[in-house]
Amino acid sequence: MKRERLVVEDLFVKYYKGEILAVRDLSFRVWDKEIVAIVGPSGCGKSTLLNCITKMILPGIHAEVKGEILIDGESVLETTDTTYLKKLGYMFQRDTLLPWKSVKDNIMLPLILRGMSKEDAETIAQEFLEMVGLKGFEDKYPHEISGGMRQRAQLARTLIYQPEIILMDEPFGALDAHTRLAMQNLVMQLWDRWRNTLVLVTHDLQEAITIADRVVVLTARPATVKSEYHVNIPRPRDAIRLRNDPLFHAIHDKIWGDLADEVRKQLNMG
Amino acid sequence: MKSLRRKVYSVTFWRITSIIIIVFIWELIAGGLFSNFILIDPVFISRPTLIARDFYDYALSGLLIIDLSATLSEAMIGFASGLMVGVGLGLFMSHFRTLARVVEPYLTALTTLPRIALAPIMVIWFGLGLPSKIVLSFLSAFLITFFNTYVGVLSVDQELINAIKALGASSRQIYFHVILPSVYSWVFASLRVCVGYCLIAAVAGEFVGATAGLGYRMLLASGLLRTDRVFSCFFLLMIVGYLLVESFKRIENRLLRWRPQVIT
Repeated sequence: MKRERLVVEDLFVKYYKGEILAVRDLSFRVWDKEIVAIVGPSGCGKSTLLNCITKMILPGIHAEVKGEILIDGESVLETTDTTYLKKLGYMFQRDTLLPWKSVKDNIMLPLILRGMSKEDAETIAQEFLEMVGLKGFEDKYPHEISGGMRQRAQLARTLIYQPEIILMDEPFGALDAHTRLAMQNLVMQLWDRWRNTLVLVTHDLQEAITIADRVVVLTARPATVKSEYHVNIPRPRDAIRLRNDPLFHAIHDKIWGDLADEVRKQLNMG
Repeated sequence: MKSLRRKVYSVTFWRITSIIIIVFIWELIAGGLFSNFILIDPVFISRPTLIARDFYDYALSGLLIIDLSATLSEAMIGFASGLMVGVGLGLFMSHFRTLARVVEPYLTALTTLPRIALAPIMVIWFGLGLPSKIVLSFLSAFLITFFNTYVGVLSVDQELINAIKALGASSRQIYFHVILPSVYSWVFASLRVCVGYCLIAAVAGEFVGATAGLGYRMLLASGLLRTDRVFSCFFLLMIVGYLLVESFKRIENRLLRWRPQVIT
């Protein structure tokens, strides 16, 4: 039987600021080497979930947090031991490359932080630069390359230390539609190579179906699981070709029914 | 491409031409070309030829080099020490927020006070020599860099810190990879302004009391109605200031080449 990598059980999060109840009774699990997309209307509490996992929200300091989050069977919420973070990769929506470091220096930073020598880190960085199609841009500074390229660099930076579980928070939200398709293909190619466990948070249902094995639909705030769907489209998938695949549209229509209700509710909430 | 190059040439052409015209008119109205045609008495505005001759004498007498090195060393020693102490103390203070808030009004008061107002007391405390002027330009550089450093620490992008933390950075690593570079970018961006203020401080200090320096020489010459010498010092100061600011502009651009270029 497959191993559980991430388990969220009856999660409850209420921010102290504004007394906002962001998440309630949220439960789902992610198996090893699985790609799970978590979709929900904008502002429903998706990022709150990831921030709880990565300890950007501290229980008792930022919010009242109840329930349980387990990574490889170890409780995350109560512990002050953050070594579990070492096996997590976190990709942000906003570009968080360090502006004063070149593309290459940014990509190899996680290795340097782990105490690797500069020469070794450079060799590996070169390999990853090529993998994400940034060869020839290694010495550029982030402001000198396009938004799509910056996200490629971020992807390489997240993958270079081979985290076993990768969390992505709307990673391509700021990109144009076409660049986004290219990035989705890139993510799938790279996943195919390493088979990390991938949790993708997005409001874009098409993106979720394109990439994921399973789609978890969240309700409007306070977020809880509304429904779960398996995406039985065979791999390898191609993001561009999927757009006129009948199976893709059938799955999309089925899930959209659930999601649309919640989007409407969230919009009415303002 | 070609038309752009032509444009650059024409700018250079008009720069040189306009200088020649100004010098010519100056010489003319001060009676240098026709002795019976004088619009303004050269006692007040001197004359380019007189200034050039005086400049030659000034250089040959050895005084020029003495004055120039006095003013420059006052400004640069003050600048360098002010920069170091400013960054050091700014970083130190950012660890002690309460202390920083206690002394903040004092420093703000010092900053809003025209620093030249400190010159008389500095001359009393540190004498007529270089030290009083060094202290004045030190204060200029120090106050600017101190505030920039302190603000730099406070305004570090929290999302960058979170991102680096998520990549596995320890707090020491966060300090060296995010906080310090961010502070340096604030400090580097103020180098040019800083060096300008240091030059002002040095000259202003010399006006109040000195034994050498371009400001001192200028004041002395002005008392004797030696307009030619006043202008010699004036132009020398202008050239020195321009070169200093330009070279620091280059240093700034070099150090901050990772930033989108702002046109200044």
